[in-house]
Amino acid sequence: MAFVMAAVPALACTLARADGALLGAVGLQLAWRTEPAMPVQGQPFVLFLRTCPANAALLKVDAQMPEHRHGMNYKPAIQALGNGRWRVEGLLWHMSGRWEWRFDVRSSTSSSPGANTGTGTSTSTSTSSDAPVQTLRASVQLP
Amino acid sequence: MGRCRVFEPVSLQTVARNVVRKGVRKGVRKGVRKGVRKVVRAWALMLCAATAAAPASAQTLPTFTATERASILRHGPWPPPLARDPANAQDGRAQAIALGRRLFFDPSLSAEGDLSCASCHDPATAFQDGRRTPKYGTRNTPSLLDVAQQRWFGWGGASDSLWAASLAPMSSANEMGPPRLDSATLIQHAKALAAYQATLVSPRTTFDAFRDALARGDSRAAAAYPLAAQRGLRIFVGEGRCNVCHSGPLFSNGEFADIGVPFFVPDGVDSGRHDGLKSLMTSVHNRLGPHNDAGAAQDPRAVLTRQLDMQPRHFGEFRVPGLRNVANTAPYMHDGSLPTLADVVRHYSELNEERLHADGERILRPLKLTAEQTADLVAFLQSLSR
Repeated sequence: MAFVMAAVPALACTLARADGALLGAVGLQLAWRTEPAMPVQGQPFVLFLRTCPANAALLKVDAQMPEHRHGMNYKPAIQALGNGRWRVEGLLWHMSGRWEWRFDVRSSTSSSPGANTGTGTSTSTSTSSDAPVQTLRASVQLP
Repeated sequence: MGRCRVFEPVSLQTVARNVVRKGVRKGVRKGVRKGVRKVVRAWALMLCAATAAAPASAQTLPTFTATERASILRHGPWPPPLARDPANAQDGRAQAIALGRRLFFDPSLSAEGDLSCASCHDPATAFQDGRRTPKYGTRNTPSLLDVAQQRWFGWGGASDSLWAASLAPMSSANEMGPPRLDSATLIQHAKALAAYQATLVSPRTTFDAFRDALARGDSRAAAAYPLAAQRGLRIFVGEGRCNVCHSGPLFSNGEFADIGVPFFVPDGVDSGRHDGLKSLMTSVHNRLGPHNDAGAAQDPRAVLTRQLDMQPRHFGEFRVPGLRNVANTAPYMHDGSLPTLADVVRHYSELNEERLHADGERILRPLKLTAEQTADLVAFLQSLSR
């Protein structure tokens, strides 16, 4: 975690470990956690994310098994909960082994936190559409 | 003596002392004769333990690693608690179960009055028919034991609920149809049939006794599990990686896979999951439709139906079947092409990778098992049945 935090530029908002596992990119922080904390093979689960800055747009969530060369059998549905919080459902890991999360996020480092207060299934946010999309990845070893 | 095995090395003195103590105590309580019998048994057990503990013997015990033990424990406990299907308000209701049982054996549901559900799903043969394929159709008739625990139904997963899967044969002209009943009555019948089928659960097996003994650290109880099955189990969760797909208490991840079984049929190709997805996603009887008793928004199982993703790799995939009761459900594979469990193991052992058409996936590889390993894996699979 120390490495991740060190790689992240200073932001007006700072996510904590309590928000979930932390990932960082240029001008962006993301915390993720699942319910249950460790998904059960072959059983659906839910993903919660928090982005900083809060007006960053979570564009896409996907998970792959790099060693198997396949992903999930489902298209995850992203729901914006507001204030940089997101809920993702339609997730099921059907095989044991290493799964790699892929989170596509668009953010502008000049954006002010807390700008996105909308809710719904849309992934649109107030973030400028010409801001770069950053991809953050994380691995989970599913027993 | 063939079953005199212990799962983990134990102190010979400890085994003898405990068994003799119990025997003597029993003798005091219930009579000298019984006590003597216990002591005799104690010596027999000591002999067994001595045999098992013999180094470099052909009977050397498999010592499971912590990872293997964790994998084994995930195949239970059995039976799991029954979860009601929110889409079927009849599920769990005694009257519906009784009606469903009656309908299941009633040939008057078929157009010609000569075919009931039980005609193909025969209770005497684990609720399947023992044939390679039925008279009409190119897919093997699956067993109905534990069917309610599936997520998708049929080899291609064309239904997302047991009641919708029960509706299909009554409606199909190739099976029991065309129906003589109106649609609303058929759906009610299908929901009662599903309520009955939800009660069909596999019995516990020697594997379950072993798994539970392992969970509570009871090495003596675990010792009742045949050694060949233990060796086969080690292959199953280890180098065979069978549990990558055959996972959990049901021994299925509930999804679909291409395992290199040819999908050509007399009139073309059976595309398996690809065709199943097309049917499911357009069906008015799926969980997103108007016949879901809970309503799609209130049915947690509707999420996966809503988020299904049609992908090219689904072409030629078929449902990963559960393995409980598998010794009683021959022949095997979606087309019933393999007559015995040994044939199934040999299929994976000598897998023709060129037959796999799953878009570059790297999951299956030939296991190249020896004859002894094949026999062990078969012994393990047989231990999932009773």
